[in-house]
Amino acid sequence: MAPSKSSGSSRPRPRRSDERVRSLVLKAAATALTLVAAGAAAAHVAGNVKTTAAPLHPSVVGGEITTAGGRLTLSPSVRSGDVQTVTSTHAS
Amino acid sequence: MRVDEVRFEALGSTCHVLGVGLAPGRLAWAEAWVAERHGRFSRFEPSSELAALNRSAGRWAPVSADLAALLAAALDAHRVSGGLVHAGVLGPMLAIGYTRPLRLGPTAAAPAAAVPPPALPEMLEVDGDRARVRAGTGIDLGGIAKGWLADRLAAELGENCLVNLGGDLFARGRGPESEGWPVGMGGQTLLLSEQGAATSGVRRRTWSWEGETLHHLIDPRTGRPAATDLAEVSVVAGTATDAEVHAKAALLLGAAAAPAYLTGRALAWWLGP
Repeated sequence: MAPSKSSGSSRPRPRRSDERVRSLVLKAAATALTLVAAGAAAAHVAGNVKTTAAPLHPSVVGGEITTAGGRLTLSPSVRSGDVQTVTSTHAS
Repeated sequence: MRVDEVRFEALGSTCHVLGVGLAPGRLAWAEAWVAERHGRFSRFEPSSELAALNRSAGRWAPVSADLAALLAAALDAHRVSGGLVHAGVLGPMLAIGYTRPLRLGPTAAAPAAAVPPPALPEMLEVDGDRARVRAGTGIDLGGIAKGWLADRLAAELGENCLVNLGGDLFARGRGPESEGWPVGMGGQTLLLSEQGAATSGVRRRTWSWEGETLHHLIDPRTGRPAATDLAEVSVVAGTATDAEVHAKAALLLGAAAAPAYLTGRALAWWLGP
């Protein structure tokens, strides 16, 4: 491929003061956006605290679990969790 | 959130009812509700509606709306399970000596006399507020009543409750921590919400008779206690009734065929060899 020609030669070069203004505007906009996003995230977290004392309860969605006594198969609509049971199903 | 609960004996089993935010007196009401149904639907209670229906085999007998609905559920269970869940196995149960509650012990057995029952629709008709059992046969609702009653009691008890009737249970609402009711199944904890679970097995209600081990789960294809390579099957489904039906059918089918049967019918299952 032939090297492309610089297009700058056919356009008037922006003045240095214009470039500085544009750069400052971009920096100010980026800083403002970052501050707004951080503030919104902080507000969201503060407003959605469930309980700070709760342990992590990772859920397993779907899949198959082999236990000592057999094999447990879960569809995506049933979750397993690492919490104390309140009752159990059993043969009677 | 605080969970209120009560345990009591009924339906030949231990029952466990829990609730969050229940009005005062609701648990006592639930216990009385189950006891009243036990008195109406047990084949062991001479004064029960079911005993009266069995005594009138061969002719139409009046039934309450509840019993009519329960009999209709039994017919539906027979249909959806391909005939494996069969409420008409009273004859074989009597033949193997299961003539009274097992806490009183079995009676003399004649397993060889147990024969497969006819298809349930051929021996049970329900027509509005009356029903007819074919002469010479009888109905036992022990295999379906607990799940069916758990579904109905949960629907009446409260918006956030769990009704466990002898292992057949329905979890209504989001549970105490709003993430589902934590229920033990197969050694794991499942978080159930608006779902039922049940277990069918052959380890309990067993006894020996003349060197033969007998148990209460009759295979309607043979009329004899089921010979299966699974000891227990637990199932989660949309209702306790469905869970009970599919657990029993899968147990009778055995380990090789159970997964294919349960796929598409159950939401979760545990197969215990």
